[in-house]
Amino acid sequence: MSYLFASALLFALGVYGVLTRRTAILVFLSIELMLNAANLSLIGFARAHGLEGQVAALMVIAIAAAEVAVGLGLIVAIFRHRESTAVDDLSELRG
Amino acid sequence: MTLLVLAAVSVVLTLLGFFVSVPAFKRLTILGLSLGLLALFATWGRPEAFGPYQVDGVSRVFTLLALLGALWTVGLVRTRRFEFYLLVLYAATGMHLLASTKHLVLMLVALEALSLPLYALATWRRGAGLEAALKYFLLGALAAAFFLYGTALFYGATGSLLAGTPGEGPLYALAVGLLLVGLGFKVALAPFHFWTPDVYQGSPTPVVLFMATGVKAAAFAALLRVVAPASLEALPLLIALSVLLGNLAALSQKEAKRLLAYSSIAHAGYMALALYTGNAQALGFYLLTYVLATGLAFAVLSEVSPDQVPLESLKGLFHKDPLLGLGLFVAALSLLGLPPLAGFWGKYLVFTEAARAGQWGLLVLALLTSAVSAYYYLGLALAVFQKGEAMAAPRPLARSVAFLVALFLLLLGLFPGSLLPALAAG
Repeated sequence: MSYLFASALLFALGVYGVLTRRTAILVFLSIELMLNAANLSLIGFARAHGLEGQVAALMVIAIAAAEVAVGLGLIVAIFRHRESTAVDDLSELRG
Repeated sequence: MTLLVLAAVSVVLTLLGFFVSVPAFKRLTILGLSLGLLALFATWGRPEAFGPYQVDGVSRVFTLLALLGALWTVGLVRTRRFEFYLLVLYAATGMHLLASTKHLVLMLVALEALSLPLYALATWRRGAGLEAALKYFLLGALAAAFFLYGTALFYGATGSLLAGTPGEGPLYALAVGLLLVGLGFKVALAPFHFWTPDVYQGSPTPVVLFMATGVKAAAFAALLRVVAPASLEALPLLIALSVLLGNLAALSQKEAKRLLAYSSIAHAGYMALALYTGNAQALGFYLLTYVLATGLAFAVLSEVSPDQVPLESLKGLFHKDPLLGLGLFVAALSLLGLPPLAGFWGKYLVFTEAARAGQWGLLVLALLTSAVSAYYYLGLALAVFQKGEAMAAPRPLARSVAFLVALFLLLLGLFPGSLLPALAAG
């Protein structure tokens, strides 16, 4: 059971980070933390249910890498455009 | 078969992109998407299965809608870079995969395959586009993380990664709830809708057309497989919030794309009514009418301006260009669900599903908010007839497509029965 609690704690930490951090990179980092929390519980459950969970965790790592490539590219583009990655500065679109 | 065609075309065109000119590349993309549609029709009515990739009636109907959205986007856009078309093609492949699998990990792969190109497409215009894209990306990645954690818990609760596996207990309920959060974000169900208005307003209009049609169709196919068998207690809350927030917030909008964004939130709520009985036919028909009508509205807006479109600038559109004006008029009335148009039958079908499920409270709420929505849809529809200085430089092809779709919406409204059996057979 302990791996489940560890993964739930990690996930909660990630959610907390997303809600409190004001920099795009740190928000994104918190999301990666949540992905890894899910990986941990997938591997933990695989002890009871067989190998499928471990294979899924490997796939998730690849997905996360693809997400990082696009996400960091986006953040760099924004930094070049306005010299800041603070999410609070992004408030042009309203209505 | 369809997946094979779409994936092969994407890979080949990726390599060809560096050698052929952009107009030729656009034609090749249209050819590739048409080949995908052809493969879809060639096997219509016959289920296909290859491991966790399973093409059935649901997958065919929803893929058809997604591919139509992709074709429309490619046709409308004016750009000098070939990557745009390629990203649309990749996203369309992801949409087909998302609609054709029950395996949760494969669903996540498909979800990312359709989202990552869209994040890039949303940045196509710098400035407001960047803000929209970052919001879309951060919230989208968050939704994917929720979906993944739901997958992990689902695996723990049932021992299987296939959606629809029966289960019980708090862990199972939490798992399906988290999966619902992830997919609810993609279809813009309240309270996971915060990105929608900003992203729709800030992104280029053809991309918004794609988001409103393709993403919605694919994600609703996944919702049908994940949520419908599980009977969730949180679903009524989501539907009630969506139809209320979407319709009430749309009342005060001054910008057409933002208005349609709130309308898309409300429509996601109406569509979710069909999840109670899991009737793919009703949901498919509603999505068909929604995709055609909202696609038509965005197509007209994109001919008016690729940028933001204040409602003021639509005044006089009918005098400037009668076909485009009529197109927007028909689209708005069909979204409202006025009887001679197809949107009416879509609403009728999903409301019947809600009644069959015994959700009378939700049904009354949906009917009331639908009546409220008449205010802003009529405002949009009648703006084109008012006096004003609308600007529009439409291309002949875009005008004839708009006219054909408007005509089709009317015919489908007059003879809805002609298409329902084909949708059911898919």
